[in-house]
Amino acid sequence: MLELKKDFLNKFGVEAYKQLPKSGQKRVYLITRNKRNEILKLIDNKDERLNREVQLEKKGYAGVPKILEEGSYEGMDFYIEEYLPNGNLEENIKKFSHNPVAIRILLLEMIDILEPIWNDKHVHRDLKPENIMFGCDNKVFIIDFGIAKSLSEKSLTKTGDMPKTLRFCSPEQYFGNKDLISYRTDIFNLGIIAYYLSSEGNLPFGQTPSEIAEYFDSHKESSELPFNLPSSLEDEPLKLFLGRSLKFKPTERYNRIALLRKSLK
Amino acid sequence: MKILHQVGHNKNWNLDAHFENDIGDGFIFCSYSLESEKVAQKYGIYKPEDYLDNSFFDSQFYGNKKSQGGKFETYDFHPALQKTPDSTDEDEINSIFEAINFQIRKGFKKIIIPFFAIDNKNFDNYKPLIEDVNNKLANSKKQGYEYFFTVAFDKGLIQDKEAIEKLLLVLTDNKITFDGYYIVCSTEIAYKKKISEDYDYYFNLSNVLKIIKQSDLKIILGFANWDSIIFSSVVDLDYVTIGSFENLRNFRLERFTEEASGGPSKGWYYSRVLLNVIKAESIKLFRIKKCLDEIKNIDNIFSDIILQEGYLWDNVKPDIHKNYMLAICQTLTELNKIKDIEERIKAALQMISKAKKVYESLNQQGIKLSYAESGDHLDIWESFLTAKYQSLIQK
Repeated sequence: MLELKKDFLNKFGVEAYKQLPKSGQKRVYLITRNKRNEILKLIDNKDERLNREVQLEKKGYAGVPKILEEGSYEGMDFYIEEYLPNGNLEENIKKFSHNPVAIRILLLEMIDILEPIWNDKHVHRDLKPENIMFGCDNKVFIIDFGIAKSLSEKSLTKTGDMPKTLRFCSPEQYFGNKDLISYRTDIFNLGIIAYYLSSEGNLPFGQTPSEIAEYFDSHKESSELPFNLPSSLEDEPLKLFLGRSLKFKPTERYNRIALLRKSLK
Repeated sequence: MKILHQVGHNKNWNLDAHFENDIGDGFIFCSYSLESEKVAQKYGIYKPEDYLDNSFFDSQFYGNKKSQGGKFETYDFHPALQKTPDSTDEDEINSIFEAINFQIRKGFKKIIIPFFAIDNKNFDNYKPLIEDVNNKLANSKKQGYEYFFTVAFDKGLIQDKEAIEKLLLVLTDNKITFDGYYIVCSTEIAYKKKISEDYDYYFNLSNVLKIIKQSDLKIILGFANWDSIIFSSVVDLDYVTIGSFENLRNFRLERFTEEASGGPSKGWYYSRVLLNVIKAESIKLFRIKKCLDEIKNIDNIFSDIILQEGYLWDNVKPDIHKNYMLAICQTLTELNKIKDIEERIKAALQMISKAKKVYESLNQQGIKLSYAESGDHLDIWESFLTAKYQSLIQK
């Protein structure tokens, strides 16, 4: 554990703290200030990607953790954001077991968060259960905009940034087709999450990264991604949502958010 | 689905066909055929208030030619007059919005937003321009008006699936405020043929139409040939056009002139049964062989007139074209009464099957038709529709 220095604790009124697992280039601490839990992130080496993440979080979108304070300390940037006490979706997966209505409500809440972000031409590109958090009263939050792409800015890499895991990735991300990245990439990711929740933790195109890679490669020519719906799933709106959101071609997914919402109601 | 007349120089043919014979539901006038000061005027006995509510005006920014009878130069906002190598995006947006305002001033309620022809090489340049037009329209849309953005596909673009996907990403974006698209598409038509036999055209254009409709946007399929039977079978189109002369049924970027002369043509007979045209000269053979009834259009007064013995065929006679307009309207209306797409495709397949049988019967009776009159396209249509049907029932 990396201790926080006393003068830092004093300067920022930190009463207690506990280090959490590291997230990328960020050291993360659960801290208590004024008897309130908050998250402190210390950045060893701030780069353009982190800058973008911070900029996006500072815009104050509903459902994205708020940055309460930021600054630099001994050459390191830090920011303090609100604490989300009820864990991530992976830790709460049982709540959605055999509960398609709860899955649809969760998807609708995520769409409510994402739509203004999409409208501002940003794409999350790494939606997965670990990045979906529950705050007080189980309010849904989306975190980790580390590889979020601004469609109005230049890409940071030539191929577009790949998500950290292939498990929830879309074909256009896998094949590095950055011209095809749009909010419809996030919709594909939402489809995988919905499948994952509907099928007790299974994935539609393979269970391991290598299986998924092989599946995408073998279906590149046909531009079709046939898959079996979870056997226990009987909810028609959710079945339709999976069928439409998990299309190989982005334009065959939901293009209009109003239609996407309507399909889940 | 509504049927619009794609109006050329002989606008009275279309107006008469609509008002006297109940053919079609409205009109698309265009800048190539109509001088600026003649837009939305009284045409013969027809006053603007008679036709404007169901009319569109295509400013044809995809056209850039001033020669051979075109009227583009009478529109002070038209790129044929305005566009120079130094034109900026701002100039182009201004021209587009001048064309929109022109239509509003003239009393049109359904507006066609003009745009330039898109090919698979210039798409990247045009993408931001499409977005800028959309954003500007979002701030200036008038209530009670519908706006259709022009997408003019060149032959290269409609064959390039990757470029189409990129274009569709823009056209179906969540922030699009257009009510729909006015789609005109070039296709390769073999020498002396009248209808496309290009699979890419059928599969790719139908995919474009499907994706746009799935995105809750309306479609006008402009400059449609009688292959509109096929496209309207697989997609719920909102509007499809019918045209008299070939130039109004077969979109070619390089020319919009209505070549009524086209050489000394006596004209063609469109047969609903054959789903094809027959040369005027061949009608004599049908009569001699006593098999005219096999291809004759029923419930069609124009067909009755032009199939009378002794009728003097000439491609500039309106009845020849009105026979086509009425016949294609009847077929499109019959098919589009069927709401279920699977059933509609089956009905279209039955029409094709019947047409093939009639061709076979004619052949057995010794009627040898020319290359242009042959039913080669029917196999293409049948294969295309069968593939579409199979993909629907597999879902």
